[in-house]
Amino acid sequence: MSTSAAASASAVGIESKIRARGLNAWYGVFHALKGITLEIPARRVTSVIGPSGCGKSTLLRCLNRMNDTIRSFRAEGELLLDGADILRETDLVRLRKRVGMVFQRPNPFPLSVFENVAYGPRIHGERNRGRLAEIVERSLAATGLWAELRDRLAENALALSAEQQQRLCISRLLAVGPEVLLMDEPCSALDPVATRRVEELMQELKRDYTIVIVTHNMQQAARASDNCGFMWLGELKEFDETGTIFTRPKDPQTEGYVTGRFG
Amino acid sequence: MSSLPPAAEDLFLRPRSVLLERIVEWTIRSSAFVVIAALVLIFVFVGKEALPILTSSAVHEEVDLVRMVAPLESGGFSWQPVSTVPKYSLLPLFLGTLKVTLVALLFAIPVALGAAIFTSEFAPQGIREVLKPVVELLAGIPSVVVGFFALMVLATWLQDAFGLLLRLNAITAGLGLAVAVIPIVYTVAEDALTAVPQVFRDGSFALGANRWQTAWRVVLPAAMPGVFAACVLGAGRAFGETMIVLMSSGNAPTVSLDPTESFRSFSATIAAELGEAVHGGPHYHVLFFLGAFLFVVTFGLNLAGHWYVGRLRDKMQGKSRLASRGGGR
Ligand SMILES: Nc1ncnc2c1ncn2[C@@H]1O[C@H](COP(=O)(O)OP(=O)(O)OP(=O)(O)O)[C@@H](O)[C@H]1O
Ligand SMILES: [Mg+2]
Repeated sequence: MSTSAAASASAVGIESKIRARGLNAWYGVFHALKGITLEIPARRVTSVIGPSGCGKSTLLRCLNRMNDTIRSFRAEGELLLDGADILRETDLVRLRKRVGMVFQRPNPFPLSVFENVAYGPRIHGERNRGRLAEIVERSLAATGLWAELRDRLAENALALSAEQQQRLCISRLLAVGPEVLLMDEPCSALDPVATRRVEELMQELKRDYTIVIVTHNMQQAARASDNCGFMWLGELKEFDETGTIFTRPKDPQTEGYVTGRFG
Repeated sequence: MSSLPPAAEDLFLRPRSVLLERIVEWTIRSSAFVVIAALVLIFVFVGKEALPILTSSAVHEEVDLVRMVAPLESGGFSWQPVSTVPKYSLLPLFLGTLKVTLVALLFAIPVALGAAIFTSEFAPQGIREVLKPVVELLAGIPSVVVGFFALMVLATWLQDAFGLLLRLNAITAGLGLAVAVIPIVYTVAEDALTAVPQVFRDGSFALGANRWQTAWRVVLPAAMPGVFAACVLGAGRAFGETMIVLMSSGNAPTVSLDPTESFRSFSATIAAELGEAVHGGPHYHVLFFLGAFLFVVTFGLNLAGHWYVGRLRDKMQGKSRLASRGGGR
């Protein structure tokens, strides 16, 4: 069990949005998350790093219960969102409205730009055209897309550039009014310039949202996140402020990974 | 492995593999050519036998295009090719074909699409693996068997259930026809739905949508060109299907859109009358003319269907019509 991570978890003395204690998860008999304990602070960017297959995505997908569709998947332990149990939440619609997710490959629906952003509000019952238009404009503006796309709202979203598509996916998420944004390697399909723009966007968004980002890009974690967790074979080895993880890691494996000695 | 140095091995291998490649290539090419040639020859043959309707004065003494379409001198429209004054109005056959095709599609499309959506979006893996082959197996039932079933069983059921006057009518035939149409619509639509990448569904679930909303608002619109193609191909099948309709329509060339009345379709007319028509006579040529018409329509529908399947592929790759028209960014 990862006691070292537990110790450092409460180091930051700010309001925490998500709290995990002894979180375990399995795919069938494969133990994918082993006693994860951490506190994700509200309105900060928290990054999760670690070698491929260590369970980063699994951890992220626990937070909005996206793994429910995988039959063999099972999770146990304590996982709280504002003090309420995520794993025992019965209203998945409400949970996913609060905890939204951006995927590795931009995945806008093959619908128009407008319909993509209006999709969330629509399924949650918004029918009023005027209010929908308002939400679409506000959500696109929040990612800087409104200025670029205001005249192309009727265009198929798949015709946009990869970076615009990813920002559209973020807009689509903002339209349902979430509190937490989960991003699983959101920049891995983007070029360096586009990556920088998404990182800048995260800095703006963290004023209003709690952001958790999984990344393979060490510089990205260092640049864009306030807190950082290092995972290794299903364990959270170390969780601390990003500066500490990259300059004075306590765990030798963390040090090895961030200095590029392995991974 | 041979012990020859690589260069020498190359020398030996290259000519042989090039020859083999040529043979394979030509085999494939010629078989493709045979298929296309057969198609063209069929069309040429049917077209040749149909042409006298337009050109032969001997045929024109008895029938021409205008008389096939316009009302008869005696008033009304009727198809009586073997009476003393043969009558060749196409209207009864057209209405019969239209009627039975509509009934079949009205029944087959909802059932097939519902089953396709269920299979691709809701069914657990195990059920999916059984359901698809079973529905596709339906397509392998000989139409004479379906026709027999419609004639002997379905007709009685429907008559008892709805108190219909006639056993053989467009509802009976349409339901029988639906059995032939469902597997086509189902297969093509299911393929289109399954081809929608999982990431779209994930995106939708992550926004809090349930399976219904995801299927209805994301997957179905994404697969629309393919689903439309499925319907068009189904229409082509309904339009051309012969045996089921021949057996369960009552074969009365009535001028009526009432689905509870007996009727006769183009295809059934050809099947029933060609054997008795005098070779080279007007009746014979009229039947071939109908055949050419059927050929063109079903060929057109199939072409349209496949074109839409192509559209689906473009859509999945983001090549929307708007985008290509909009040009550069
Ligand atoms: N659906 C699944 N069924 C079974 N095992 C799975 C499944 N998904 C993931 N795993 C396993 O769980 C472990 C953690 O996977 P996860 O996707 O969380 O890793 P990751 O850290 O996100 O890796 P990457 O950096 O490659 O995305 C891996 O060993 C993987 O093989
Ligand atoms: Mg991952």
